[in-house]
Amino acid sequence: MAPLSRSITRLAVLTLALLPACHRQTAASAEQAVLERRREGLTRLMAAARRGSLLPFDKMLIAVDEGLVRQAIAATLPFERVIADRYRIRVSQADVHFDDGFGLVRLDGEASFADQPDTEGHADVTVFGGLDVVALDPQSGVLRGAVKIIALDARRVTVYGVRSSVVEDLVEQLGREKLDTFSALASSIEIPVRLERSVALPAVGPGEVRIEAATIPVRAAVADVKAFRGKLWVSVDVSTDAGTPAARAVSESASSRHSR
Amino acid sequence: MKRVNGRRLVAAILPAFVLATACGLRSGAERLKGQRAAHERQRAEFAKLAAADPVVTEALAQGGDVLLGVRPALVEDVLREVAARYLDHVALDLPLEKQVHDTHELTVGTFLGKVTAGTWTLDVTIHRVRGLLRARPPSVAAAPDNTLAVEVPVVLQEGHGAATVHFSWHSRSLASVICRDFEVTKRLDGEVLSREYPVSGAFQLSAGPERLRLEPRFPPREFRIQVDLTDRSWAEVHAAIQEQDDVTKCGLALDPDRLQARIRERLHEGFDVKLPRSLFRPVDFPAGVSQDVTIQERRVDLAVTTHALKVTPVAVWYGADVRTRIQPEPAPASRAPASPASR
Repeated sequence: MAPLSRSITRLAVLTLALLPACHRQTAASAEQAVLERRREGLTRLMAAARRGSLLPFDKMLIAVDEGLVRQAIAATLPFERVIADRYRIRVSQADVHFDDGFGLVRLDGEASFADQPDTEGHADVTVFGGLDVVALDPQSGVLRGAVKIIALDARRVTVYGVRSSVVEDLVEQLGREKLDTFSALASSIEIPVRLERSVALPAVGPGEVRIEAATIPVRAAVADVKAFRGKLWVSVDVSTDAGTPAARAVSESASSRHSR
Repeated sequence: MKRVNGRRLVAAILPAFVLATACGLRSGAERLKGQRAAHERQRAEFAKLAAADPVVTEALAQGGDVLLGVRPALVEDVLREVAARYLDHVALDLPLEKQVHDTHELTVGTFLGKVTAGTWTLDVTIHRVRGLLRARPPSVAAAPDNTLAVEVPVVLQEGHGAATVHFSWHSRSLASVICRDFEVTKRLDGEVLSREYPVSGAFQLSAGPERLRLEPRFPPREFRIQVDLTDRSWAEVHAAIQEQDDVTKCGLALDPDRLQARIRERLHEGFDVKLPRSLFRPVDFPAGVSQDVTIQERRVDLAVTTHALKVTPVAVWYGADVRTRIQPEPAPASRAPASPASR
């Protein structure tokens, strides 16, 4: 083998050997990912504000405080999920921030191998997710948000300053997993706002006045979602006329926003 | 100076360079610091833009964990649909027993000069009216005290009812020598003249535990209803007067056509009725705050209390404070390996 070829081969082997270290999510890379999302969100917010349409408000506007969503998630804590049949993650803390044009959901907990007792070793993990899609459930009319994982930070835990090989292995393996793998930790969040699909008016009579019962169909679809000043702002198109654009399927509006 | 082996140098530097690039370490810390600073500048700039937005300012002023803002146009849409789909066919059945009374002296020319021949008296009793009301599209405007002022034209499309007409003739003085008194009582069918009535009132906004409610506030007000008799009933009235139209009953004074016109004129003057209050119903607005949410497949019960309710020209604002009803479970000290069932 020529000297140059040997060098290239060594280089390739070395690079491949070290690449997993690069893929591992660290606190810095997680912060970077969150910061990028915030900057993107702020850029979009400022563009909308300059256009004069920071909050589209033709029919209905809903504002939900981050404290409420934080509190609602906290009420479900702690919870455990087994991820990819390999890791047991116990989430013990949650935080939510609606700011900078993006709904940040942060979950803190511990990860261990699912087939071993956690006394064998565990890692501290922080999962960062973005509340990406907000839509009305077509059946229940409840406002529902879907969380997309944007970063994972797995940290070694040492006991009395001793590093465990199990924990080293765990952190390495967690770092190699695709972020979507952790979606089960925060896939869906309901927001306690419900839009009925109809207005029911009862029958009146018998007596001096007789009116037949009537049902007025109501069509609602999320038109715009923004997050700033600690609130999630949801603009909703509401129509009592079946033929208006507001009647479009919820899934359509949700998927279009998701693809942005 | 010692000569450096070029190949070894490349072998040592190149992987480090490639790795540094791949890992983003080249300028990682500095870049992150710069991005943080840029982010803070963006935040400050956006804060100014948001503070200048009237909707944001007004919404934030309301407070509450959940805030619903509804444009007056949407309330108007809902009330318009209520008028179109619900109040488009309101059947009225009003037991009125309303009286219309009229009396008139008749003079006749005789060889002795003009003498009072007598007095006719008309009493019409409208026993009940059945009719159909139809509301036209309303107009809605924000009003003080968390109300929405509403103007809704109501058309009384058709109506009919039963009436008793009592006509009496009493001869006077000399005329009574030749003119005989008489009384006619007829049970007749009447009809209500179609007319549009402007109805003004308001919907008071109230906030229940979960939703907005529009409570009607329409002050009692009388509306004038004009009635007439059916053609068949008029024919009966005409025949009854005609029957009396002979000399012995001073028929010369009782011109049936003139008398009928007079009765009609009197009926058309109408009478006042109050629209029943049950005509206007509360309307629950189709949006509210849920009493529970499902997060991570777990139901979380919520306690919802009204924080604020305000009507402004911009919107109807409904703010609610929401608290969870359950406490987080305490964390166990240690755990066994997870079984698939725990997933």
